[in-house]
Amino acid sequence: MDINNTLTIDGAIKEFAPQIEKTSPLGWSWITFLSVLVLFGFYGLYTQIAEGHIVTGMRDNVVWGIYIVNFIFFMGVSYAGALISGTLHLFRSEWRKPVIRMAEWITIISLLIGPLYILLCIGRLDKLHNIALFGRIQSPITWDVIAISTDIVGCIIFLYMALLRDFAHLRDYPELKVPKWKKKLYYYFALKYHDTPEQRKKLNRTVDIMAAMVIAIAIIVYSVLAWIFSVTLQPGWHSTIFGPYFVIAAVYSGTAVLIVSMYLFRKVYKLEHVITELHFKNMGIILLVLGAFFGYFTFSEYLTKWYGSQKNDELLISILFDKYYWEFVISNYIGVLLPLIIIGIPKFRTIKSITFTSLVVILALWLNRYLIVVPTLESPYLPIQDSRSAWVDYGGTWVEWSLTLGGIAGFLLLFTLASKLVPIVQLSALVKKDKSEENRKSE
Amino acid sequence: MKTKIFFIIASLLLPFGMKLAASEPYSLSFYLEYRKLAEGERKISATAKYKPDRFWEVIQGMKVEFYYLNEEGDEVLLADGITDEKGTASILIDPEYPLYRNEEGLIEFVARTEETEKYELAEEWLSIRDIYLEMKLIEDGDERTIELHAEVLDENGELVPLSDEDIYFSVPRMFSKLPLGEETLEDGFCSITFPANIVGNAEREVTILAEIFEHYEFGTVQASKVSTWGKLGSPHLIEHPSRELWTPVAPLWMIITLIVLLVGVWGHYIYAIVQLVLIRKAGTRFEREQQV
Repeated sequence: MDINNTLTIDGAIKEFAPQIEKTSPLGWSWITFLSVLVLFGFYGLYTQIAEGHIVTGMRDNVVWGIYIVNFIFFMGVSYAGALISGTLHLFRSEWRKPVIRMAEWITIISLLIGPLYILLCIGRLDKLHNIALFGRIQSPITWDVIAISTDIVGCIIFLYMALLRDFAHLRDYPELKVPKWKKKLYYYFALKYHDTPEQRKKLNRTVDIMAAMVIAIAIIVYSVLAWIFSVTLQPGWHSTIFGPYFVIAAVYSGTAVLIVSMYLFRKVYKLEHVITELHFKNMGIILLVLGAFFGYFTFSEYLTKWYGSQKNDELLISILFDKYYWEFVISNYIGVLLPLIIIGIPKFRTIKSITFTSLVVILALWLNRYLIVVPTLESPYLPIQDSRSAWVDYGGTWVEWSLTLGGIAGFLLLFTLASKLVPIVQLSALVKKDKSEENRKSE
Repeated sequence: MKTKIFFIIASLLLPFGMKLAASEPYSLSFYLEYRKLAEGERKISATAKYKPDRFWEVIQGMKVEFYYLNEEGDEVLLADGITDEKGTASILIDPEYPLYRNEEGLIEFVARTEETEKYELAEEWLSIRDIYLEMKLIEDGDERTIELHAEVLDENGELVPLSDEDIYFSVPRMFSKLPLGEETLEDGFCSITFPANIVGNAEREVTILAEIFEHYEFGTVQASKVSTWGKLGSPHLIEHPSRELWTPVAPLWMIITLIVLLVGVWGHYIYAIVQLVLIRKAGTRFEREQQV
């Protein structure tokens, strides 16, 4: 049964309240498991702080490694969440309602996790404030710092506004069995919202504006991130299409993360009647189109470099097809072709196959970022004298992997906790005119 | 469904797996370079390339063994090296290391690669006649002259002056060598005037290099000395720096664009926050009305 637009608000809260009221033993185990992984990440961080960056694989040539790859990946996922939720909101797509909250959480949580990886790259964190004091606005790094902080604030405002109605509904539902602190939190965060015509009008107009803003900011911010690479003359980075290429890759990976989230929450919270096959098919089609664009940009990027036959570009391409052969194949062949085949052919288009494809896309896009960052730094224009092979060739160490694992676990943990704070499905979007609510107001 | 997905993935991987199929070993382009450094060390470099398609590509990680020939004509292993990302493996021979010179006064070197499944064995010979360069720096008032004396070891093992060879004088800089000029040896001697406008380091030091380049018999031979003839560099101070990407002050268009963008975006944020405050006020009003 599709419950979209068939519930009253009280019915909807009753339906989704168990998610936030109690946590099953399996849920606690999951939270404990993720917390252990996060702690493992912290141990890696302690090792790095105590012993210095020598414990990472980063050296003279490859000064950026897995941390930057994770940063780009998480930022990409966040921009995708913003673009998807903003676009679906503005287009008033009816089918979006059960998945839009997930997209919004993905945006915020990735935005909180991603920038931490930049901090892990910096050797002298005590000098970080100098970016604010002496930052030159000609530097794309400065643009990025400004852009990311602007984006975080914008996305938090957008998410908060999207949550406001649900906070109000949860505040006004007397039978909700949640701790006192949570009730207080609902009360304060609801901002005395009672869905009066005046409040509704103000909120709708502001959410529309913020939806448009987060789309624009997401595009600008991810382009700025791409420009950090493309304004340098490094082989593989100096490209005019890097901005749009990064944006497409970001939305592509973010869509895949959203589909996997939909699958997991659907299973765990038994939301089969809310998140239906239609949602997977629609998201699958979006994934397919983005995959085609991503493939087009990738092909265009490497074809022009290959035909240009510049010495360093050739060296880079030979490294990609030799040392990073399988990573390149998974990233740029399988990551593009698999969605085209599995989602492109209606017969194969099922919930499981779309989710499986999304998992492959997530892996492919992480590898894509790795291939953008590491092989380029391994083939510099200016050879460093007496460079040992260990200084040129990069490989992540256990410290970097522990922090990567910790970051992923942190993302999943925050996502899980977020679903315990408010229902993972936007209650207010699911209901039609709520008579009980209207009656309560008129009493 | 699982089977279908498996076949799709398998069919996607199949063409790439075919790359692993065995093929004929490639023949190599393999050549040696000899360089006698200013400190007297000899550096021998071997570069290996192969041609998988239309272009030559360097081979990285290949083992190369370097030998010299002794008086019996046997190969004596000097050392081995592994080719780097440029396909080059190098060894350094100490100036005191005893190398045999044949009856013509030549030192003979051999370098050889390993035969593998992918590459054929490659071998290259090199015969070098030893020469000695000595640089002298003469200062006479404002006139500074670099003198170079060159001698070659003839077939009788005697040092004789070298003539009719070109000597290139330069000053090594960060990215390349700054040429000072080119002179031809006459009776083992040539000289060049050092220009007055070469910038040195904080102690006015400048390294001067004299070289014979890639000679068929001598290879590349260098002599160098550090002089204190450099000019003191002065910081490039500009009272009012122009607005460029590389100056402390940013171009105006950049500042204006950034301000417009930030004001536009943060203006909307402030608007949204003001709306939230108004929503709260409207709520308070609504609650008061309800109580009445």
